[in-house]
Amino acid sequence: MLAPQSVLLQGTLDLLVLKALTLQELHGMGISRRIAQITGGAFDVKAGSLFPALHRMEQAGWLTSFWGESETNRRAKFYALTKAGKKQLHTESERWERISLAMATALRTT
Amino acid sequence: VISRLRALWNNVFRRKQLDRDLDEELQAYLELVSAEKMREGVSPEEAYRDARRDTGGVDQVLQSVRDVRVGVWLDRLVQDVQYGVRTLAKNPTFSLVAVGTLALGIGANTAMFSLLDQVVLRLLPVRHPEQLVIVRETGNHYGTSYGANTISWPMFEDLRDNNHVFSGMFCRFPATVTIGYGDRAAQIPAELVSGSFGQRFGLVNDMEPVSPDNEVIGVIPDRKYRDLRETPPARAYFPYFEGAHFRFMNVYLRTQDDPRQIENELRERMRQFDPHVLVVGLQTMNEQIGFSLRTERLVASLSAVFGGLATLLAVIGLYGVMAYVVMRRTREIGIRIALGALRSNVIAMVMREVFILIGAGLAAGFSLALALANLIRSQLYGLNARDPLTFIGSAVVLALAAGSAGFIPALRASSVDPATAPRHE
Repeated sequence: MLAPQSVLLQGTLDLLVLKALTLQELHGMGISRRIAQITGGAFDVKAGSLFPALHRMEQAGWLTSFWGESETNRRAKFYALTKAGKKQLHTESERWERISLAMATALRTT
Repeated sequence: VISRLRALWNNVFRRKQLDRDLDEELQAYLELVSAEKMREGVSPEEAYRDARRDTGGVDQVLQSVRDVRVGVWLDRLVQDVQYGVRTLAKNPTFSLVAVGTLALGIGANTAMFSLLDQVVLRLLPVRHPEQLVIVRETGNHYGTSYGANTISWPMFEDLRDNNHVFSGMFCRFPATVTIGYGDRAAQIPAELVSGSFGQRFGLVNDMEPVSPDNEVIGVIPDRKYRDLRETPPARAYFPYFEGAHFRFMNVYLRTQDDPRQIENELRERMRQFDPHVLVVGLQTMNEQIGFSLRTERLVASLSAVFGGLATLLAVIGLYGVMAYVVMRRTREIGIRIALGALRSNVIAMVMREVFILIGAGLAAGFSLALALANLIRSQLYGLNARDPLTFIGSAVVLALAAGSAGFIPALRASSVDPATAPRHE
């Protein structure tokens, strides 16, 4: 497991949020927990970076939000992917794969 | 783009609602996190405290969300402007003086430039007016002639047939023609013109030579021939025909070269052709217009000088006010710098107030200019005194001049020494 405050690469958080929302719509904490789950606990996204990212992505049209009811029967804001968000996820995943492949190759070179 | 525009709309007009929603969203988040902790066996109070601590401060989260909102610069701008206006309102006399001088400078200048532009800078409404010249004879005139600057028909013929200097040539002769219909007849002013008249002026294609059944081949806009102050009468144009009985006419030439250089050559050729003819003179169209507008041009040039002086005064006035404002706030600026404000922050702070003053000055100045334009319009002959380009141009020039006047105090403010500033009285 990485250090709890691993610095997220620029753009990584957006990609993780998009990925976390592929299966179902989630509220803020749900997204945070889902990211921890899919990264094997490597990333613990705090509210201070999660909420600005969510609002920024909603303004960009990648996410849409609606008020729903949480597990604790409380009004909570849920986020879901839009069509543009799915497209963004697709292009960003490809870009990320290219980068990680290039980095891995570079680091293996002796 | 659409989602961004919608977000901008919401951020600007539904800010309260957005803030309430954000607050509720974060509260829900806190409760969910503490509920999770309680499930792990932590007491409710402790769980809520932990949740708040993990969040890293609700206010900080709120602020960082607000900072990513589309159009956050708009919020900041509004705040900055409000602050600037409050500061200036504390010194109402000085602000009024600054705005007043700016308004005067801008208003006077814009109005003056409109006048200058119309009577000095604008050229004839024909193609390449700088290439047009009028030929005139100097010396004794024999026989009758109609109006000034006329030359005789044989002379025109000589010029037309022997000239290789000009790219074109036409003549005109003002006349009256009688139009009849049924048993009625009316006299209308007319121009007898040579065939290339329209083409040389760049108005219409050449006219056909006169035929028994005259046919309308072109429409020429109203023109002023005798005086710029005249109202152009309804006028018909007829091709000049041989045998018409007039002896003198105005002859116009068009040349691609500098008309000044042609004058001597033309004179020389005419002397060779016939040593007895009168001396031929040239006058460019623009010179002729200048001559007929000489009074207006003098007034306009004088006004331009006064306009320049008004601008200078306005700029000095603004400089004085801003220098005074900066001096009064030396302590505040010193403390700001001591607290970590950058030079650029201080310059921006002062320039903001300068631009508020300029904005107010522009608004007042344009009202003044529009009022003056009404006065000026009576001095212009059928021309527009409210040319938007003139207004925008003078606004930009004056805003730049006033902006640089304000920049000097801003620069001085930015170099306030925080060590000595607090003791400044």
